[in-house]
Order: sequence, then structure tokens, then C-alpha cells
Amino acid sequence: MAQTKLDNLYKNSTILDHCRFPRNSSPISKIDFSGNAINPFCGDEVHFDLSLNDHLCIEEIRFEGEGCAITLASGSMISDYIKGMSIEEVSVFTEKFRLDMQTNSRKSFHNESDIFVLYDVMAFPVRIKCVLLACSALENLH
Amino acid sequence: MINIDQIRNDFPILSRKINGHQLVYLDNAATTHKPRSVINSLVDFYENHNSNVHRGVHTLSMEATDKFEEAREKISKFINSQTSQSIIWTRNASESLNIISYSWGNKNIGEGDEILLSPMEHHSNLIPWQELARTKGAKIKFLSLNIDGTLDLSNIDELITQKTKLVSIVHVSNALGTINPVKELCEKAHQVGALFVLDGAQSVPHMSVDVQDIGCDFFVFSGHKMMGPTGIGVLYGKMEILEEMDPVFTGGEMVLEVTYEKASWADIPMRFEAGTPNIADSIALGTAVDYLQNIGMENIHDYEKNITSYALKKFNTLESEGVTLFGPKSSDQKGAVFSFHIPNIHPHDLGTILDGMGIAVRTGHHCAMPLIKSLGVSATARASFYVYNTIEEVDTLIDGIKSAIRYFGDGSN
Repeated sequence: MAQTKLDNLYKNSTILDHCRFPRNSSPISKIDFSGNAINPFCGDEVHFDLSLNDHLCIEEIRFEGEGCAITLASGSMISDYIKGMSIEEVSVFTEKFRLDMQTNSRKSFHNESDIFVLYDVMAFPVRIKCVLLACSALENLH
Repeated sequence: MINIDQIRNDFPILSRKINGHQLVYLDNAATTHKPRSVINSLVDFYENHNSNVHRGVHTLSMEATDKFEEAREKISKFINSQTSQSIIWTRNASESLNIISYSWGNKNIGEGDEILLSPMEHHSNLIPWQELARTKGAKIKFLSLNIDGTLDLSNIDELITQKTKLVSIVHVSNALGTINPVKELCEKAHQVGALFVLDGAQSVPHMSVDVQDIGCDFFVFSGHKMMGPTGIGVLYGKMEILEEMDPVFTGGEMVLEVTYEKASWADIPMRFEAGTPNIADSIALGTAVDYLQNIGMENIHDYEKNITSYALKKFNTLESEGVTLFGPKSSDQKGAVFSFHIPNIHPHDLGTILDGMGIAVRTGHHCAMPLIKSLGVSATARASFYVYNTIEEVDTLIDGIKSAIRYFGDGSN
């Protein structure tokens, strides 16, 4: 059982791929919003830079992270997921995703999105904070 | 000599299964497990002797007071204090250090004075001094570290000067395992008239400590790292220094005479123990001391030294896998604490994988953030052993690490 949970997490090719090759890691041409979050208990850090287009939706995004596989994979996946959203939509997303992770629910996201695999982290309650560090950074956008 | 089977039988939690595996508990630098005698001591107090101390004439109160003061006496003898009055009950080593900083520090540290620390201090022996220095305009200086994680004392005479008023050093590093030459440092501090504070949180559970032999002015430790309960710690101070110190907390228990206008302070140690103390946990810490002394501190130290030597050899075999072990590489200079780093595997992921195998290690900065940063990493994994751990558990850890490397390496297990 424990081995299956571990395998779901660390043998999941999507998580490992995002962790090893984080998406959206190049600098962007202009920065309209930035958000940062640090987990003081472990020192993990996540940072986002965003630029908006004329429709006030995210055109470019840069994700930068220092931390464990879960923190990095989560930041990378989320950076892909929120591209094209408005700041308000990002806020709705983080609220829904945080609520799901904190209430052991899988209702908001489905398996057409990479983010879906992050639900497997709920089997390791102590690691949920690693997934949600990216949400904290997006909640701090300024 | 150590009878390891008998010792392990005394710790109920060691028979637990974690994720389907026998628990291998290697997080002893964070907290240790409690033998049945300590757990029973808590139950016995609440079932048979529960009462407040120092303030009743009824039988239960007298029994509680006797047991409480007997525990103080046990602690005093355990560290060879001159008198049990020098033993002040606190919540933990952090609180003990804060009391020194707030009480002694506020009275005796001024602008331009210097406080000398080592770079391997736990946050508990760093931040109270940072706060004191900030409010008083004093300066904190740091000893240097050799590459092997031992203290570089080559420039000690430049660092300890007439400006130095206090030297506060960890006896055994919680992050590197380094055993520091505290007697030598204490002598150096005293040569310039500075006080010497020793953080014994990681030493007193594992080796014989004699505060008079070391000569330290203050010695602090936590009960829960030496088989005692959480929430109880100790501040030892030399009587002549404690007598000149004002209380940090005021209220019940710590007074001699009170009027509506003012109060005078009780004698040491009660001056520093405002309010109802942590009676049950103090008594149970006394029971933990009994347990440790029954095994013998020399036996514990020898046994753990053997584990350290063996683990050092085993970690050496992991070097080819890229595993970096931080801290001294000799069991003469190192307690059984192993902080390490594996390339491309974050310590938290390693911690989760090892937990899946029933192995409990610590991951993170171990409350020594500046030190861990200076090692060039953001976090390490740390395996720390105690007298109930076995040589076989070293092998289990090493196999677990190899397995984790394979997990992240080629995806097979």
C-alpha cells in the first residue's frame, strides 16, 4: 500500500518530468506582476513573474523554484495551467485548488490537465504544503 | 556493557510498524523516545500524587513537593552541579537561553560589547543574542569553521578580547554532530572575564557532562532529547551569577514578600520559576535520568561511538553515488548525527521515500539555517541515533538511501 502511494508520486512520469524540466523557466520580456512564497519550515521557495496582454490575460509567465520534487513539479504545472488566465481567474483557481487539496477532494480538476496528478500528494498530508507553495506565491501577486 | 535487546524492550514505540515496516527511528536529535519507566512516572504522578508544590500542608502536596525537589536533585547530580539550587526548571533549552539573554544580558551587555558564537549554533543559541545585540548596540562575532565542520581556533585570540562579555557555544552540533572543545573555549572566555554559556541539548543525553569540570557559567538542555517528556528543560547557572540576576517572569511562586506596591524576590531557583511549575514532567525527567544512569553515560557514549564509526564507514561507500556527508569524519570529534545530501534528490523527497520504508529521518535546515546555507545547500537529510538504535539500523538506512537513489535514478526500485 505504502509502496503504491510512493510509486504514484515518485514514479509518475508527469511529476518527475516537470520536476526535472520545469516549464516556463526563461526570463520574460516585461513583468506586470510578481509573486513569491517561502516555506519557513523547509526553506523551499517559489517565484512567479507574469506579463499581461491587451486583454489583461497572462501572456508570458516565468516560474522559478528551489525545493523538493513536489514543490517544483507543482510550480511548473501551475505555470502552464494559468497561462491565458486573467488575474481574477488565477485567484479563483488558487482558491479552488487549495480547497480541494485541503479537503481531500478531487472535484475541480480532471485528468485532461497535468495538475490532476498533484491530487496524489493528498496521500502524504505533510507534503500538501509543498504543492500549495505555488498557490501561496500566486496569492501574493503584486 | 549495553544489552540492546533489553533496552529496546523498554521503549514501547519501537515495536511500531510504519507503512508496513518495522520503525527505524533516526530522528533522535529532534526528540527521543521515552522508556516505559518515564511514561509510568507521568501516570503514577497523576494517579497517585497529583497536587501543587510548595504551598500545601496536606499529604499529596508534600509528596508532590518531595518528588519535584528530588528530581531537581537528580538533575544536579547528573551534571555535577555544586548545588541543586543551581538547577532552574524551564520549558526547554530555548527558554533557558532566553532567560540568560533577557536577565543577565539586559543587565550586563552594553553598547560596543561583543558576544562570541560559533557558526553552528541552533537558532535557539543565535536569535536571543541577536535580539540582545540589537537592543543594546552590542556586536556578535563568530568563530570560523574548518572544512570538516570542526571549529577553527587558530584566530581565537583575535576573536576573544577584552570587549568580549559572553561566549555561547553548542557542546555537540545538532546539524553536524561536531563535538566542540568546550573546556578550552571556556578557559579562553574566562581569561578575558567573559561568561561562558554552553548549550548541552545534544550532549547531555549522550555523554557524561560535568559542569564543574568544564567550568561553564551556564548550561542549558531540554528534557525531551534525553528520554524525558516534552515541555521540561533546565537552566543551570553558577549560584553567584544567578543571585545577581533579576527574574524574567513574575507572579506566583517567585516572591519573598508582596505588598500592593512592590515585591521582593524569592531565593534561587524559585526566583526564576514563576507560576505553578511543570511538576509531572520534572519528576519524569528525573526518572529519565535514573534510566540513563542505570545504563551508564560512559556505556551510552561508547555504544554510540561504535555506531558512529560504523556509519562513517558505510557513508564512505556512498561517496561513489555522489552522497555528501557533512561534518567531522572521525568518531572522536562527532556524535551519532549524520547530515547528508544526495545530488538531484531533495531531502524532503528522500524523507518521504525513507518513511515509506519505515525509516524516520529529519529533513530541512535543522534550525541552523545560516550553517546549512554555508554548506552550499538549502536543506539536508539528517539521521541521528540514540542508544536504542542498532548497527543493523545503520545498514537499513544505507540500503534505504541506495534504494532512493535508484528510485530517482532510473525509475526502477
